[in-house]
Amino acid sequence: MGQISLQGIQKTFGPTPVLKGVDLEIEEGEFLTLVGPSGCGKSTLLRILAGLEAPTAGQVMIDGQDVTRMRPASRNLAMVFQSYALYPHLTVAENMMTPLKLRDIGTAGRLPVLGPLIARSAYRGLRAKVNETAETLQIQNLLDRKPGQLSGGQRQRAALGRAMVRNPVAFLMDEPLSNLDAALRVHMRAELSDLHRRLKTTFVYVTHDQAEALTMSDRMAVMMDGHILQLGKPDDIYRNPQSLAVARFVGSPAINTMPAEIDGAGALRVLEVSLLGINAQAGPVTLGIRPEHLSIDPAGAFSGVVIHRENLGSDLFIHLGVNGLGQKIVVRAAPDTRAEIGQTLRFSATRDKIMMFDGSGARLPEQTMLEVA
Amino acid sequence: MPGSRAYLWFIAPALILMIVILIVPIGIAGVLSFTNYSLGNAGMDYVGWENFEKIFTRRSYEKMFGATFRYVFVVVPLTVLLGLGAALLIHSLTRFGNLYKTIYFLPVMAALIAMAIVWEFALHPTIGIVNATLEKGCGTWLEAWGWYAQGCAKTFPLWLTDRDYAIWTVAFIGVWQGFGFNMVLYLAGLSSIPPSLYDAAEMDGAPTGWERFRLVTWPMLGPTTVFVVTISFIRSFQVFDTVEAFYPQGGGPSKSVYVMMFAIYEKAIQQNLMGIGAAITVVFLAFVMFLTLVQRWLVDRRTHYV
Repeated sequence: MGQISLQGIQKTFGPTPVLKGVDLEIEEGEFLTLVGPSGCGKSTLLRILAGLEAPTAGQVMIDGQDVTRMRPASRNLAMVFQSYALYPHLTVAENMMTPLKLRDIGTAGRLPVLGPLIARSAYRGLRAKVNETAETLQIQNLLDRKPGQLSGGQRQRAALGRAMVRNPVAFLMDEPLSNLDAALRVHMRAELSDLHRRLKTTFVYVTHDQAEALTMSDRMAVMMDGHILQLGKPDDIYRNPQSLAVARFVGSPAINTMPAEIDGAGALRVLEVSLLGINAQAGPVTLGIRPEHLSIDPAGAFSGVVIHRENLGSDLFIHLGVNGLGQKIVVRAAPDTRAEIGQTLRFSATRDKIMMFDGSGARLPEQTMLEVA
Repeated sequence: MPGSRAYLWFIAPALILMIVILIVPIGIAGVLSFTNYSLGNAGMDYVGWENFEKIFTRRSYEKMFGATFRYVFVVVPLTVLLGLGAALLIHSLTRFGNLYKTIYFLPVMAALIAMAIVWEFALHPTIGIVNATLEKGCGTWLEAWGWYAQGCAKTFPLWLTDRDYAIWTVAFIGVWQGFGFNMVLYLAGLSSIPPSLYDAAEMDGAPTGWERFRLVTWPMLGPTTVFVVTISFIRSFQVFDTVEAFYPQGGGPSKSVYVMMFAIYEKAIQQNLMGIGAAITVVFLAFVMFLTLVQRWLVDRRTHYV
């Protein structure tokens, strides 16, 4: 249960194409994250999967069944919204009971006042389920409160509870952590991962925060401009981005990029330094290298002036202004590294970690790089 | 600065204005309601509860309460329901919403006196468009309806001058004039409902519009409804312009449209009986005060979500 397949999904709003043919296979029990900058279509894709939005073209399959034309209610998916979307006039318990009530109790049983009398035993069953879910999330003490009386984190749990209570095929989460403060967000990250391990249900998680995608998911799909640019394990995407856009989006601080040139003799020239022997067509390229693959090195090939130091306690990020380069270079260093603002430092790069991208932003294969002569 | 009295300077203008233009006149009306004061008289006599006794015993005041409550209990439910219905329909439109909003809101903006004159012509028994249109239906299947057949055989109602129809006709005009206002209030309420709640309802398994209305729209409109109902009550209790325009003398056929505001005007201004006019005013204020307190209680208890 919980195998989802999206085939050739397209969506246009008026003349604007938002999704330009997305194919995605989500495996059973997987934690898959859709990540991308705002406006990339990730939320629209999730809403199409949920059934809240109809695709212009393409198919949505859940467990081998075509659900493209099916109402959201019949798809048995649960969604957690960015704003939590709890019903403000109902208590947490009533909020959690709503999906069960709408599914399991007939129209007569849902009448106000009379309903609970007519369908007494059914209600008892539902209350037991609500209590059980509340126990899992440790919100039993909040059941009688209204959403307005809860803190952000508590509302988040209540919304999760409402989603969990009827054992859906998959959980869809639309930036559920973005309304929480930083500390709580980190905490909830771990908690959601833990929840996923316990429930063993498919999670489809949408976020613009690459850190959430990297820390929580089994696989992540980086989306931009209505396309999935790359789909894979977080580790692979971080280490092995297939395009400059993905390399830039994933990782914090962002990857350093430098314009470079492959000359006719096959040498890669960057900032007037001839770096590597290259087995590729001559022409301009872009180099990408992550801050942790640069190091302060008195014998390094490059030099820059310290313009900012960012001390995170465990790491020190030194921002260097390099002559002839538009943007600054960020180097990760040990926290005890001496670096005063205005000081000129030399640095070097770990050669096999340098990534090359061609003019259109596509990754050039590693094999083309040769050891420097 | 502790002990500073600067705050007095800040509240004084509002406080003075409120006392001078609201509290004092109400107090004076309260005092006058126990007298037989007439404008221009040098003195007045204290008459105790006599004025109030008259209001609650005399036949003409019984008619006043009858007309007022008939009007209020027709106009309030209908304007609220029609206002909600129109707002829901307009809210669901993707085009022409503004056009409909304007059309429904026009009667609210129009001067009611002028509109009353138009209605008077339209409802005229012989030359009015309403009865002329009804007569066109004579001889068709519409005559299967007894009331209609009777109208064709004899004559259609005189509407404004028939004592069985007058108050309902005036109430109809009140509904026509008032529901656009409620519609605007409901539209504001509807647009403040977060769309994600409807998404949540859809995900939770509320596939029909009625289910979503019950689960999201109606509860979320709770505060708006309390306000709309209260304001409709107060506005209907205040009805005056139409009555004055249709029946400048005496409150309609056998005083069947003798509403409270008109009674105050007739007694206190036309007949210069300030004492009794003030007494009706005090009763009127008591109604409005009661409604306001009910509203406050409801807002605090029932619909305050945050």
